[in-house]
Amino acid sequence: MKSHPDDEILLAYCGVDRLADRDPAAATAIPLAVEEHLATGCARCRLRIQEFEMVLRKLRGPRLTGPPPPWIAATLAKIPPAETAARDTVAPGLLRRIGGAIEEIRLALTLDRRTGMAIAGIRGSAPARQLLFESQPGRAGASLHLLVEPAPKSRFGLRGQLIARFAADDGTRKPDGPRRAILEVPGPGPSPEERSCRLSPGGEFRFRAIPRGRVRIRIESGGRLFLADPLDLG
Amino acid sequence: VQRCIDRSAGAWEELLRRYAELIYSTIIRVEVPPDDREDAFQSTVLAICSSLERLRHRESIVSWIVGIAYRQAVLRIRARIKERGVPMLPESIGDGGSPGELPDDSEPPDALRLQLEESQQLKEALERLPERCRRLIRLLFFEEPTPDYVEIARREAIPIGSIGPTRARCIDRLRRIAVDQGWDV
Repeated sequence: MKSHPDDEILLAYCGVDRLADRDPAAATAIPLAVEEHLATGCARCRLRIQEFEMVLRKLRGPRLTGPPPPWIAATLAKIPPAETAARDTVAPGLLRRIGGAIEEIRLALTLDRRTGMAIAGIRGSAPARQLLFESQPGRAGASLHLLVEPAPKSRFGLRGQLIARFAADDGTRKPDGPRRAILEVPGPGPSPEERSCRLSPGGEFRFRAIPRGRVRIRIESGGRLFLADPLDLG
Repeated sequence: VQRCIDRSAGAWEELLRRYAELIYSTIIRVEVPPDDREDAFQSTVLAICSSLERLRHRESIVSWIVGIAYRQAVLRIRARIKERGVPMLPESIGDGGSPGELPDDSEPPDALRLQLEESQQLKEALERLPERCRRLIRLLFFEEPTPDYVEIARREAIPIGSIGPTRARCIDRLRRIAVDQGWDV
């Protein structure tokens, strides 16, 4: 064989399909012809065979599977708008000293679901919305669990629990200071209104009759300020 | 990536068009229970969203996404395990206080990461092929059971005799893309 074998022949040699089933004579003749050609020292065909074998191996390897299409739309709807990103200059999990006393920890939204698992200290009744904010996605640290429940007159109830380790974070125990949750809710004017409530010893809090719109929670606890991503209600 | 950070119109749709399969496949490979897969998928995307600005080496985005999806998948499994017996205590996740069924939630095993990266590589290479080649390769390699030549010829409206040469041309195109992308032989 003086010229190079066709790619079709090289692919048959690489076992692109079950040639023996379709053409037993070719299945015997092709390997002999290709090996005879390779024996002449043809580096081009030897490399081409290796490359074809690599491509076939990948084609036959595990393939990616797509999620159900509705998940994509549902997930896209939950991506916070750019305003959120611009406002939050502190990365999740990063501590920022404010005035030398209070440190700020940003809590990023990592779970938003309509129904499902019970969360620590909270018993929900459907239809409810369960949300999880974490200081660093998927890792230990501070987390804020929220349960949003519909309330009469197009309002919402919000129950939450902050779970955080203080002393273990940086080896220093911060002064306790006030332990309270502050909720920014849409007000009648252009500026949001603020409501606040004390945290229970377990870090729990509750707000009632929250109007529809964008709300934002921040929690002062253990000498730190926990700032959650904004949340759209309704 | 920058368009996603800026929330440009269509940027997240495009990111998910490219990587939704990678995320979902990671979640499946970690064996997240079916009921928790949507949560794991969603929380992965939200985690990507909140940390995309800190992705330093944008050429390693595939590996980075696999890492995030893996950690979110492990987190969901741990939460499910705790839900069954012990109250859910998120502060113990990942600090050694876990139930013990999952040894490590920090990084995916190398073999898993490599396999997923290769699968993503193949997906991206196939997207660079002409539509006709993509269809033929799907029929020949991905469809179960593989249709016979008569069926392929009927569905693609081509003579049976041209299947072999067309296949060779398509695989050769894929080979050239693979060489261009530096796949390991």
